[in-house]
Amino acid sequence: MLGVDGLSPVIVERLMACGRIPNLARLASAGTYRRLATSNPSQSPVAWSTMASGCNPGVHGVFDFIRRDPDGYMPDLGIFKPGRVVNGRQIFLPMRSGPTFWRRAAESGIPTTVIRWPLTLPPDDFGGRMLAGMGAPDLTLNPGRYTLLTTRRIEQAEKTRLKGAVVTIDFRDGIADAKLTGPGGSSLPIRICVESGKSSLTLRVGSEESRIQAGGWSDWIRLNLRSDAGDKISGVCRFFFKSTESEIEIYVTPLQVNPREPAFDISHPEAFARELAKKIGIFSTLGVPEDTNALRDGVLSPEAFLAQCDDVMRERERMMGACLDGFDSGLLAFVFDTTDRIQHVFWSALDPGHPAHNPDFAAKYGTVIDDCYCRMDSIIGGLLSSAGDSTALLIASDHGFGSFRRAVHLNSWLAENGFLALKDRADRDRPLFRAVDWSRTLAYAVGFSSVYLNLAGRESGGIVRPCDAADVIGRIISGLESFRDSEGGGKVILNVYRGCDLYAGPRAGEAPDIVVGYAPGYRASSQTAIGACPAPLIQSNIESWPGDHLVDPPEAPGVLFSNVKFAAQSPSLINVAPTIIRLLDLPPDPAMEGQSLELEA
Amino acid sequence: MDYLDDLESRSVYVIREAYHRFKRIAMLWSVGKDSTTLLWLCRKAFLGRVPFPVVHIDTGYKFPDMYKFRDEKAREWNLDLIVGQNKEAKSAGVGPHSGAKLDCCTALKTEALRQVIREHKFEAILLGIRRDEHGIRAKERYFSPRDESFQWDYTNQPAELWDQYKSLSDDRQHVRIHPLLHMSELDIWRYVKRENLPFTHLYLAKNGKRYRSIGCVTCCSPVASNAATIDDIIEELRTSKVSERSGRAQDKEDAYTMQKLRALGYM
Repeated sequence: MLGVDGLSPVIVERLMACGRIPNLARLASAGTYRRLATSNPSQSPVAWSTMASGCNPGVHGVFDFIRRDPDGYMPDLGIFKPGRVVNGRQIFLPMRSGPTFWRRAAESGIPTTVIRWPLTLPPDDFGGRMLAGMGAPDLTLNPGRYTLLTTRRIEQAEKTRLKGAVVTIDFRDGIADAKLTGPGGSSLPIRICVESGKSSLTLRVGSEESRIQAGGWSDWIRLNLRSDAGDKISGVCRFFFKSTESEIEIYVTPLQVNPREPAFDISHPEAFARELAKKIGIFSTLGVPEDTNALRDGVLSPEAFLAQCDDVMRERERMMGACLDGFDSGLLAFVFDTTDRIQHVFWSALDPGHPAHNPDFAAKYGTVIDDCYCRMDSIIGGLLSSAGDSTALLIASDHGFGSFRRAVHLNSWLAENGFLALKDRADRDRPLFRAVDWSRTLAYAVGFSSVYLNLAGRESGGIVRPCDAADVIGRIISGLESFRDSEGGGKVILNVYRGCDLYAGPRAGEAPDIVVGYAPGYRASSQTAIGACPAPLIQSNIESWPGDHLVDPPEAPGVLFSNVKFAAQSPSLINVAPTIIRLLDLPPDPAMEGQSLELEA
Repeated sequence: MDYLDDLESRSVYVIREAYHRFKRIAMLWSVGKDSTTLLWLCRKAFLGRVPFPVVHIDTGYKFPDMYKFRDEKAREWNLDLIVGQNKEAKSAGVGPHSGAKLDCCTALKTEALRQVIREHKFEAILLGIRRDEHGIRAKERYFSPRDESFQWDYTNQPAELWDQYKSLSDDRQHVRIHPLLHMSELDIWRYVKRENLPFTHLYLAKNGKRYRSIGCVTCCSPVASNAATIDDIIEELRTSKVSERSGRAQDKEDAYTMQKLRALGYM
């Protein structure tokens, strides 16, 4: 089972037609190729959890990138959840419930390995081996916070805008000393020696020394942090040296778990990460190692970012090789996700109608996305030849891709239409619902597709009586269905769904009351996701995140390829887990809701 | 026994228990009403003399009245006062500039306290927190172990039955002790009144506003109030539904949440 995040049927079909992805084309002609219906909503955490469980989100409990606490309304990340610290080790609470194909396989005695599947922190103790994927945070429990060491004097306003930490450095006789901040009050002294001419520099971190050329990356550097109380915390990071005529800047990746000495469990069994590192060297353990934040902040150039992506792909390929080495029989589930990151940030090069489209940028980077698909295709070619014909192979993506041209401030729409009330003279741009007057608010939007009622008995300041809920939901839905963009007059939202129609199961109580399916080109604004209500209803998306897939699910299908011929014409993510169980010749798992795909007679 | 006597004797019991169990102990004094009440109770518990150091963490941004009050009382009550300051961070220019409030608190308060604990090898610290202050404090205990990363693991604490407090701690931790946990804001003011305790005048209304909770000038804002005397405050609290910390900047909590949320690529 090979998962590839964000592989879009539109691009796949175009590249197949012009012969650029021969391995996928061969699978399509000799085996199966279908568009694969995604989950509702079409967000990666939801989609991968649906694929793993063969169940709807009401069972697996993942509804959005962002969840909210009904007691206090605070939005929080829905991709990892730190729990307590036991004997100095951070414990994480599971995000996903319900069955999984890997547990079913392992419990039936099939050797099973799962690599980098999203939302697998904490790694499952399921009888097989697992390495955590998207959702795993850095050592400071952030989804990924870089550090910029710079000789430039950066104004406070700029520092606030940057998503990373800024450390000012000063050179004296070619030497600068700096400190990185780690977890638990730890800090890490770094000495930087720059050569005259600034063509290279040497970094000294603890006992490790690394030489970096200007415009180049360091290898992985091991960090021995010491918490305030004297505990050792092992980490790894990489450095990128960018030098301009007047300034010296060094980008530092988020400080991540060292797979050789994990500070918290990123694998099961715990030693699995160590074994992998022994085979392939140190690898990135962060859920999203491709630092789109640094790219968007202008801290990494597109070239430096692409070099980082390239390294991530290469490292993942080596990891796959290590898993296949000696693989005789069993189940391997393996996920690549760089495809998704690259499309998010380079999409404007493909879309001349995008507000951030720039012909120079397009000329320079117009082939980046296609190239990434081709690279993936050649990896798949290698996989096909090493797996051989007797191995059943499924390749699936969690969703497709499209342009994100217009950002919708859904909370502002709710305010304008009388469903959400703002405090007097409140700053509407303030996030975390600080501008909202809950005593007069009926509904609020949070995350990328979720709307919740301010329900009495559930929300801490709830005012909608349960007997009025259906009526309020009905009014919001009919309003949203007629929501048109004042620019161009097009439909903003294609479909609006009732949570109770989409979800059933033990965790359906956590589900949003309304799920919004945006028209292609539209997406919930990031302000909406975190509870702000800026004045305009819709704004052009000029941020450097031009591609997305957070639209009405039928508009963002993924792909399914296999060397097995399937008869089913319209498969969906929920069929994947049951199909894997069937290909393993196991009886169906009664806990899974999806059906396995019919084989061609 | 009147109910203030009862509250007082419960606090005194915890203070004496703590002093008995820990050799290297100190109390944290923010100069606010709660920790001044705690200080008063410590004096009572040991018959007028506080037998351990009193630590004031000075960010350099406190109200001028607070410094004056601190120095006066330290002299008057003959305190062994330790003023903790993260000098390194201060000279590096860390301060409450907009957007950096989380870093500011971490460096100037948390880190400064850590330095003091390390320097003096304190095993236990007495603090004036109360259960009704903030939602998360509802889960606090009288004796609350902090782990090496200063994390309070509230789901992993032993039950406290009757007066059998878990006051012995593992190595490499320090224990925070909260003798005022059972008191409410209103109890504090009634007690301050009964004992005729001194307090800074920031708590009293001036031009229709007063501070309900004090800290750094930059992160505190006054609440609307006409309570110009301690009796007015008690009356106001009896009827108020506004949270005590509503005047304190939410920025710190918000900043941490925002830092995490913004790191998600989609933001």
